[in-house]
Amino acid sequence: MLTGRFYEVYFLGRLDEVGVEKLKECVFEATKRGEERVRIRFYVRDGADISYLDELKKVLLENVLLSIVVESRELEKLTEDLESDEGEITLIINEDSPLPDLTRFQKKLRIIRKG
Amino acid sequence: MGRTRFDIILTTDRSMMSNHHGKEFVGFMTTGPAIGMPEKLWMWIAAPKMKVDSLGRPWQAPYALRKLEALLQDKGYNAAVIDPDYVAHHLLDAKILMLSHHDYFALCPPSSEWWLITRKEPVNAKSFRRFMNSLPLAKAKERGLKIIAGGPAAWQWLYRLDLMSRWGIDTVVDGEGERIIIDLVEKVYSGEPLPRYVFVGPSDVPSIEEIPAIRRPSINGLIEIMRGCPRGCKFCSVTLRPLRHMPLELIEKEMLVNVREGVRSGILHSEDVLLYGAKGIKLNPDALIKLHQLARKHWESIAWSHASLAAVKNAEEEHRLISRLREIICSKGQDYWGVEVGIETGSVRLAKKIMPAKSAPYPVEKWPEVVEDAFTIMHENNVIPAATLILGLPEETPEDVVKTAELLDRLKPYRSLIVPMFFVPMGVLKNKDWFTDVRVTDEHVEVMRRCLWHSVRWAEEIIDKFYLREAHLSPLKYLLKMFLSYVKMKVRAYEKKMGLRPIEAEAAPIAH
Repeated sequence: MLTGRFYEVYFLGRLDEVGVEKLKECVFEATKRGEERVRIRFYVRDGADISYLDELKKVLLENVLLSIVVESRELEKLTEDLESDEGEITLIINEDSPLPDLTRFQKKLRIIRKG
Repeated sequence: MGRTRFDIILTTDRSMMSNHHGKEFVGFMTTGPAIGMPEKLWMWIAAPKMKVDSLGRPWQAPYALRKLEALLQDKGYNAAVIDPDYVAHHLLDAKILMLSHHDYFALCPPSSEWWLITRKEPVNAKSFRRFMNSLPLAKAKERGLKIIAGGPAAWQWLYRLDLMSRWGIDTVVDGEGERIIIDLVEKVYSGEPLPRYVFVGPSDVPSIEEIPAIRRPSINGLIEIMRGCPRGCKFCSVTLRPLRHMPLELIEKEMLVNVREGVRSGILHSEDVLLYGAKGIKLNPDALIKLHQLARKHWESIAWSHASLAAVKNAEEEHRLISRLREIICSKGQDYWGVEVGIETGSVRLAKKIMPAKSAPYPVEKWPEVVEDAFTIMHENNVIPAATLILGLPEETPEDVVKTAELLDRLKPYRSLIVPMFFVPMGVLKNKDWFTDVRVTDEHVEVMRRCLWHSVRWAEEIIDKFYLREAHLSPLKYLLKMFLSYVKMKVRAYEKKMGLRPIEAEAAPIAH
C-alpha cells in the first residue's frame, strides 16, 4: 500500500482550526480528482511531538473514502524531501517563521499560506 | 519456559485473550465494570485464562490476530501470537509488538453504555491499561522495539494521545491490515521511520486472494465467511467496505485448523450471515445450505455472529430458509443457535433517516413489522437473538424513543436479549469524564428499563434451558444467576426510589 500513488500534502506550523479546514479542503480536492490515497506529512521541530493528531482527528474521522497516511518529519528534512519526492506536492504553511528558499520547487509545489 | 525468541509479537490483554469458558456471549461481560462481586471474580467469569504452550502461545486467540500472524508467517517472518501473561518474557528480544482490541479504552458501546449508567470504568479498559503498564516498555523501546496498534478500536488512540506517548505507540492502523502490515514491517526491518497513523480506505482493502488462512485456532472457532455489507446504514463503518465472500475452500481450511487443535464448535462471522453468497440483498439459498452443511460436517455446534432482521424474514418467507437451516444446524444434538441482530429503532421516521435500506427488500415504512415478524420466526426456530438498539442519535426526537418503547412491548413474548446502545458524539469523547455530558431523557429511561426487564426475564430461561447446561459450567451458571438476582434487586430498589411504575408483567411465552 505505501508504494502506491499518493496525493501529497506537507504541513508546516501548528495545526489549528484554520489548518484543519485547509487539510479538509485538500482531502476533498483529492477525492474530486479520483485519488485513492492521501499522505499528510507534518514537519515538526520535536520528532516526538504528536499533539497535531488531536486536531487532525477532525480530518481523519470524517474521511471514509480515501486511505490516509500521516507522518511526521523533522523540519530540517523539508528541502531534502521536496528534492526526492516526485509528483505534485501541496504545501500548507500555517506559520509566519522564515522558510528556506523554495523557488526551485515551484513547478511541483502548490503553496497554501496561512490567512 | 522455552527460550525461542520471536521478532514480531502479536497480542492483546486478558479481556480479549480468552475463550470465555467456551461461551462467546459471556465475553460481553468484559464490556462492563464488576458489579456485585470483586473484579477478580468478574474477570474469572468473563475472561478466564486459557492454556498456553511452553512459549506462551495461547490455545485460541482473536481471529484478527490469527490472520496477521498467518500473513507474517506466510511471508517468512518470525511472528507469533503470545498470551498477555508471557509478553514481558519475549519483549526485550522482539523487534515489533502488535496490539489489537475491540475497545481499548471502553469508548464503544456497550462499554460506554455501562460506564454511563454505573459511572465505573469497564474491566476491558482497566485490563488493557494494567497489561500495558506491566510491560518493560521503556527498556524495550531503548532496544528499538516498535509498537503498532490496530483493530476495530484503533481510532480510540486519537482520544488518548497521552497514553500513545506514554507507552510509545509508534503507529496506529485503522482498517483492514493485510496490505499495510507488511509495508510497516519492512520499514522497521530497514530502519525507516514509521507513519504515525494509517487509515486503510476501501481501495486498499485486500482481495480474497490476499487474505490468508489462519494457522492456529481462533477464539471459540470464530471464522469469517464474508467482509462488508451492502445496506449503507449511516451509523455503520463496515458498510463502506467492498463486499467479499470467502470461498468454501478457505472456510473449510480454517474450520479444520480449529478442529485439529480441539476447538470443535464454531461461529460463522459476517455482518449478515444470511447474505453469504448473495447478490446485493438477493439471498443465495444454495450457498447458505452448502455453507451450513460444511459447518455441520466439522463442528459439534454452530453459531452465527450477526444477521439482519430483514434477511431473517425474507429468508423464511421466500425460501423457508431458516427452517431448512435449522434442520441442518440442529441435526446433531444441537437444539438452538445464537446470533446478534440490530433493531436500532422502532421509529419509521428515524429509520428512514439513518437506515433506509436496513429493512430491504421490505419498505422502510414496514420496519417495526419486519422486526416483529423476524422475532417470531427466530422464536419458532430456536434462534436466540441478542438484539441491540441505538439511543441518543442526533436526529432522534422523544417521539422516536416512544415508538421504540412501543415496539419493545410487542417483543415481550419472544425469547431474546435486548441491549440499548447509547450514541456518543465523537466531540464529547474529548473529556475524560465524557459520560457526564451525555443527556439521558425520561423516554430513554423507559426504553432502558424495558430492555433490562425483558433481558433479565429471558436470560434466566436461556441460561437454564439452553446456554449453560454442561455439568462443568454449573459454578458459572450459579454465579450468573446470582448476578441476575442482584441486578433485579438493585433495579427494583432504584425504581421504587424514583417512583417509577413497574414494567407490567411479562407476556406469556409463545408455545412452540
